[in-house]
Amino acid sequence: MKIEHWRQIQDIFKRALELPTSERAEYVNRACGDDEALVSEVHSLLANDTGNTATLHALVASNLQELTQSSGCSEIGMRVGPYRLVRELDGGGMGTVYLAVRSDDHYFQIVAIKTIRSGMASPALVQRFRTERQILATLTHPNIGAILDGGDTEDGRPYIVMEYVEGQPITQASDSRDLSIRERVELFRSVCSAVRYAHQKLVIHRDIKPSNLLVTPDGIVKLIDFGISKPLVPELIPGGPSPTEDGQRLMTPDYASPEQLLGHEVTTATDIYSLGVVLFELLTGSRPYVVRNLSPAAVEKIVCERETRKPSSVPGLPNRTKKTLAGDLDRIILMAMEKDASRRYASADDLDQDLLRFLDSKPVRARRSTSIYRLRKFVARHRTATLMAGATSAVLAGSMVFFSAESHLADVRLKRIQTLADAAISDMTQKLQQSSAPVELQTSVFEGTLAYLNQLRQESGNDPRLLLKLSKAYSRVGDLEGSPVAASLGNTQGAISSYQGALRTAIAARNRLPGEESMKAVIEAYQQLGQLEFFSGSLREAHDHYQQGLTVARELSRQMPDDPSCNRLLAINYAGLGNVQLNSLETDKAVESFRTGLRVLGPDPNGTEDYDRTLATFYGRLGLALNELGSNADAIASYQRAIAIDEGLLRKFPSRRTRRSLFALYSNIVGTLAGREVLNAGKVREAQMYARKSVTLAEQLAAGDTTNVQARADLAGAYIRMGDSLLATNPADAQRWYRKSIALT
Amino acid sequence: MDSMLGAAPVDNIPQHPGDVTNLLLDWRNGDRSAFDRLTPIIYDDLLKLAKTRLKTESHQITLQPTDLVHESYLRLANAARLEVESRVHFFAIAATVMRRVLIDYARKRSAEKRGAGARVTLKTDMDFAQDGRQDLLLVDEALRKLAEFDERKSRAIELKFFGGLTTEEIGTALGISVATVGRELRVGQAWLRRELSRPEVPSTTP
Repeated sequence: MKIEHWRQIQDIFKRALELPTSERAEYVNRACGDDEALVSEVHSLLANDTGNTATLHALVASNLQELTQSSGCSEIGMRVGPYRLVRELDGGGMGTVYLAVRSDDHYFQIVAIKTIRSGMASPALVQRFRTERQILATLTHPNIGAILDGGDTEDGRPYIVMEYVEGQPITQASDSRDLSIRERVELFRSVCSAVRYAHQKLVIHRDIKPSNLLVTPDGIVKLIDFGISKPLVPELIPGGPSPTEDGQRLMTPDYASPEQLLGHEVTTATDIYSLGVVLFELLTGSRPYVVRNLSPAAVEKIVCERETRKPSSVPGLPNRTKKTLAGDLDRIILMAMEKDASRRYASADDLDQDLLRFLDSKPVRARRSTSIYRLRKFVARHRTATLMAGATSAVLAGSMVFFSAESHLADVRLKRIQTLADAAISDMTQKLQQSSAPVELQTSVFEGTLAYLNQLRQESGNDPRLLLKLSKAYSRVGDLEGSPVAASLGNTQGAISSYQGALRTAIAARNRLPGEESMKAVIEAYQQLGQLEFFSGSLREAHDHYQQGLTVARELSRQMPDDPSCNRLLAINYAGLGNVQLNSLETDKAVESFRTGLRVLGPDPNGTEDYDRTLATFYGRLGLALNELGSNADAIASYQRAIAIDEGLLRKFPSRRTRRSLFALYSNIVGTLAGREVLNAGKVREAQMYARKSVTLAEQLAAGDTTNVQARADLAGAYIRMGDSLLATNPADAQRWYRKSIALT
Repeated sequence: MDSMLGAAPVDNIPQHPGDVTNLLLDWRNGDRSAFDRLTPIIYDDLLKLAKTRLKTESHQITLQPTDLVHESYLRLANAARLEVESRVHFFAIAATVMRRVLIDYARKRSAEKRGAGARVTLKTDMDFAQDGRQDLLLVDEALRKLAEFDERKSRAIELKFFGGLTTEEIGTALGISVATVGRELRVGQAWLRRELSRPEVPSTTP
């Protein structure tokens, strides 16, 4: 009713606007008939039609200006105990560090005060903060920033008053003082001393990095920011976190140890690793590896799997530095940075002692066997890749001999060719895809394989079965180069040309030997091209390829109407087409495609993981399309089906993939339930129910995740959905959830 | 530690810009949760940019949301991998986020000034600038009200004023023609002006 009314007002308003000003009043009166309320609505809108839009621009700009000038910090000037906050030194996600002054009859003192951001003081955070304060209070060491005082602000946030360390990060300070390698090692020894002391007090720092190692103008190193430190034995700290609930992993990836990245248990060895990274950077001016701009998975791969280069091998080092580093310092740093925590120095003191031995020119304890050990580990880890690379050349060499022998019968020959092709394709591509072989090795193996297969094809006179194998090989290479849905090298262009190779060979195979297998290969190649083009945004090309795939898939389905695998291929083709249409804003066509796909597939789950998962995806996509079409009720129904199927799947085959799919569904349904104009109470409750489910799921995902970044982002998203679902009925609660979400990120 | 701050450009570049690119692709691809994951990242970045602007460009007279939104896009997204549409989607999200950043800030300020008196009502001539912070809260409230019965108009206004999107970009973001965008904005703004110029009583519309 209301909406209808608004539509009527708008229509008359818009039509009136098309008339000259002088004729508008008369038109409005005529169009509204004797509905006086309507007349006055339209007139008042017309009266407000002209006006300066610049004012809203100016308003936004002036607010923005004020925000930039405020530095976002409203607490400047605030009194905290006897201190006054002067300016912000550092703002982390949840806490802020201020420069503060104590200025009264007794003292003039500059300090750093750390407190929780206003509005973010969740009980967990307050708890954690008190823990940090407690930890710091137990640490008194010349190389550790001291805690001076502490208390609670008027609004109940705990704060810590710390020694204000005015200084430069250890790396910069050493550069600006032009310290030699030996002097840097000496300076670093006081870092070891601070860390040893903290470890003796049963505290792990967990975030050792140059910006937490400040050198004062007097040249003294201070280890600061125990913000993510944790006591080794939680019970020692009253109110300390239990080992299990300390799930949040905050760290700096550049200096984090493999076990930190993997979310494994953090020990004193973790700090030893970070010490190794810092020492590496301090002595060479470079980090052992660069992780900025990389995805979490790539960081993990580099830190946890790739061999650390020797400090002395850093390019561009002066020869003298290279010489000083080579040998002892190389070994010391690499030992501190062993990926296996048990192979690192047992304590900061051991590291310190070895550095002293180096300075005294005594033999260091860092294992001499290290490099051999590492090589062995490397070979073990890359055995598959190394062996297969060897096998390729052996097979290639063998094939030359093989084809020169003319006495073999043709069919025997073909069989053997196929066997060779099979071995080359399935072993190499699949195993390499799962292994951690370096990219260059993978690429060269693939190039070798393809060249080899092409050669086999020519030798075999374009035998269709071999063409099919070749098509598969191209398609796997394409996957590895640029599959949008699996781990890949991200080379989209390369992948497209490989998929085109797959398509070409599949079509050639089909021309020579029409039938199920070759048709399937053609369809799959079209779908792969379509999928990749879709993901890379080339919607028109994607549409064409899915259409072409559809033609063949329909034909195949007609030929083999009762074959589930053929029908599935057809259904998947419809899904791909629907995705493209949805993104091309052809929403009604997308709905049709998803529905047709569902008809082909069959509407009900059959209890097998693969099938049910496909089905849930279909209902989810259909829900999305319906929602976009404005058919809310149908969209919700479709989401609910998808959710029911996914929830069933999760019970039978729990997997991370299903959890994530379910999470997306919860998010979508809450969006549909809570995001629309008028809500009745029933829908609000339903939205809240799904939002709660989404939070539970996101919390589970966060608890079991290895890289954590994604999971935390999901959790933040779930909190936003909670907020959305509460917005209509309880804005204050909604705001709390929004804040919670912001605090997480 | 502050000897480094000085006039340095924004140095806390997000750790994984690739994530944003992928999230945008996910979102375009229909994963609504990607939107929720993008929001806090962009929020953080816009806030950081806004805060650093003062340090680096104090000479600049009027900073417009567009400036920050575009800069944030360059920082966060791998433009090479994204099509125009994804860029527009990013801007569209950023507009919402920008609104939230500014509203959060205005709320915070008005909470601090609480006790200084009741809320100022707007004059009928839309002299917005007299007390920008509080007025922005009123605009926010009005837009939310508008969204209750006409989400598209509310959104179009948000995109234009908080994200600085062009009419064409708004059309792409909302999936409507440029002409429709023009009409939506005109009706929406007339409603907004009227809403903001009335004394503070519960609205009877519609």
